Amino acid sequence: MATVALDRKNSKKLTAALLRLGRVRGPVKDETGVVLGDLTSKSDPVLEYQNFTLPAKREFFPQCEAVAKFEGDNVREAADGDRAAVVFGIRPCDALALSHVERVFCDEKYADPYFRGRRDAALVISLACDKAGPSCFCTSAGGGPASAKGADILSSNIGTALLFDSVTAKGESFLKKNKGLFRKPTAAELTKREKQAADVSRRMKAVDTAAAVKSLAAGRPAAFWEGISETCLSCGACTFLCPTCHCFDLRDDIGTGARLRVHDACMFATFVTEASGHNPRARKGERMRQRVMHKFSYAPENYDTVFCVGCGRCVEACPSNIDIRETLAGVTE
Amino acid sequence: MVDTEKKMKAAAKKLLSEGKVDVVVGFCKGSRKNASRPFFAKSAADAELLVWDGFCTANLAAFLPRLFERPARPKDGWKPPRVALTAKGCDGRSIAGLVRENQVPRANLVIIGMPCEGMLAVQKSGSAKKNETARACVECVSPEAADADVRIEGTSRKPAKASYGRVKAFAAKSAAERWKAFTKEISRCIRCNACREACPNCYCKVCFADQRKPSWVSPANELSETVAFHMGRMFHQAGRCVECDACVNACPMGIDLRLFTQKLAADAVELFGFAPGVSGGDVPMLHTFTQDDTERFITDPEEK
Amino acid sequence: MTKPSQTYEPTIVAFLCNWCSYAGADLAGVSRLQYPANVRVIRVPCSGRVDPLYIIKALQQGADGVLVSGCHPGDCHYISGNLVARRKFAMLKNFLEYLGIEPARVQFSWVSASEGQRFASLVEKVVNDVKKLNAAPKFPRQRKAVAVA
Repeated sequence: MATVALDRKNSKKLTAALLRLGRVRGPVKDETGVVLGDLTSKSDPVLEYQNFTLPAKREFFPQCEAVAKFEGDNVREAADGDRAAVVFGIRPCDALALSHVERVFCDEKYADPYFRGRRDAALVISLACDKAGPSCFCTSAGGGPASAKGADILSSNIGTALLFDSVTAKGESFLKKNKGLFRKPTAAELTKREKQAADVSRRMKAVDTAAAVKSLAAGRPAAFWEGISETCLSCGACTFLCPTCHCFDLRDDIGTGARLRVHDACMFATFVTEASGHNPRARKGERMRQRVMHKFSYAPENYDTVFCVGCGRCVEACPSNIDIRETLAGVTE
Repeated sequence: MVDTEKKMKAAAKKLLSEGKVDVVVGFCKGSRKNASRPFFAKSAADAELLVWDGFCTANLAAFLPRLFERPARPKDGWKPPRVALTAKGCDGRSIAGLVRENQVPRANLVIIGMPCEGMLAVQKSGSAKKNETARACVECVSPEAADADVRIEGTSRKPAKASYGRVKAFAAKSAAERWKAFTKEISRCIRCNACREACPNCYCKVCFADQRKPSWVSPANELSETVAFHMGRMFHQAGRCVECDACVNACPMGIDLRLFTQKLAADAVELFGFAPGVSGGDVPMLHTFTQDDTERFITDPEEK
Repeated sequence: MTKPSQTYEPTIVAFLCNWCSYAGADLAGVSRLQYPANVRVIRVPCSGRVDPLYIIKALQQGADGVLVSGCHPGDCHYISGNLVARRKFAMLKNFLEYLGIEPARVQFSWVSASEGQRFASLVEKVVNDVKKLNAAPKFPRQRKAVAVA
């Protein structure tokens, strides 16, 4: 299906059309900046932001989700409500990350019903980037500022108008059903979009991810890992903000009688502590190695892709400014 | 600051080349805009990379408990290292606290006292204005580490007078408003534990929040549990928090934890004359008592 | 906002030290003194044993009020447990009040083993103080109750 355009001044009509589908998650302003929040009929979606601090995976793989409810001996599947019908405004890096996380939770044989349920219920509309963040490197991590992968519709903001491209059948269906909203884009608008994406790509510093993957396959000595994790605080900020991280823990909440799936982090010191008390990854270097290998060695082996989308959140958030780009460069030395 | 940096590097190189310490904990240039980051210099060559500028904000004392902890599967003949640390006033107050609580052997430490003019306030976006000093530094009552072994010459900020204006302003609101403001601020928490790990005082091998038998707080990000976690973690700082803002700076969600912990600092001074690392002595505030400690808060049912 | 409700019966969790306050409570019972039944007693060896987390958790789990009572200063069975606790409680009470928990909800007192009447009066006072406050749950729950598929 060809690209369609929506004049910026009509964006409230788009919000209305999206709201007709159900709950809409999109960019809203709050006291901290622009966050992914609930759009209301009054909202004109904010489009001036770099990226949300929190990754989009949280809409489909929430920090805390009930997976079962129990009362005495009676255990039943839980169904946490409040699914989103639309998730609008996530960046292409987050959409790509979504497709990675989806491959972990759903494969040919088995689909995690909670993730699957949330993903199927939602129309994902990503928003291409019009500028690069200070730590972005998506072009070196299998993505790009206007990459469509992982979304149902890819939108681009070229100032006076928004351009939309369907990516999946679900996306196409929405655009077709609402064709009254849209018009044909002009040639100038299409060119502007291409130029914007090219400009953003050009501004990003390249990282030789492929070389790092190759080098990691051969392994690196323990001293290397001890070295790069020296100033790591094992705080978990990187993993909790990462759009592709997906490790979780299951906890029983006796008070409400629910089994909860909660986010966990391999960087936490106690992540793999065993019931005996033995901790196979007691050293920071071992945990750092696990994180980097999972993302840049095991994932390529199992999924033919790195589990990093170059969003730069870990670089910005790390209290010790440990930089994954430097780690990848260091791996090949 | 360039002169200060030169003198600091020289001191660090001397300590390392003379074999007096195994590592100098300081800062080097960061990869983010307007950031310097913690760095462990282990040789004179490493020491060449040390920097001292307006972005040396992190509290380096947070690394000390980890450095002195006996590692899992230690190599034969492991001994506690000898550590030097480029200390601002806040680092110095934290180190005093760690020594006071027997977490760090003072004899193995060489405190390089730095002249601190205050660090720059860096926004989450990375932007920083040249003359906008970080809030913790504006309010700092002791910009220089009190107990330095090596003192680098230079000008420091003048110590501020503790006024706790923000605490008074917050306390002036109604109880309902305060609870709403507190829970709203905490509602952004994603339980990543960055605040805990960045804090030099949070050195417990197993944090109360990670205990499962009994389970004080669930790791689930359910707001009432998160509120309980912060109330507990903050109260564990009573009489210990040195107001360095490491927790606030580490938090990826920008939660202003110090608006609440500062109340504890204000009370420690008012009720017990205790400001960790500044006044009140060498025994942790809550480990001791006097016969005249306040009884203002006690309920007397027979009082008319 | 708050109306003393005739039917609202708050739940007060009371941590009583074994040697003084618990014995005092026992004496109140043996003497057949009447006092409100809203109090749930947890016996601890010493008021110094009361971890601030007990108080925080009690409130989070839905207690409308918390009472902690120990021996009078100077009379502690363990010599100084209550003296160390005194500093902790002073800091905690101020801190909880600062965060927005009404001061009447968390109260501390000293009751000796011979003060049965004092204990009864204490419970009476605490229950009345809490009854005057809003009965709404204090700690906000974020997730809705879990539905069943």
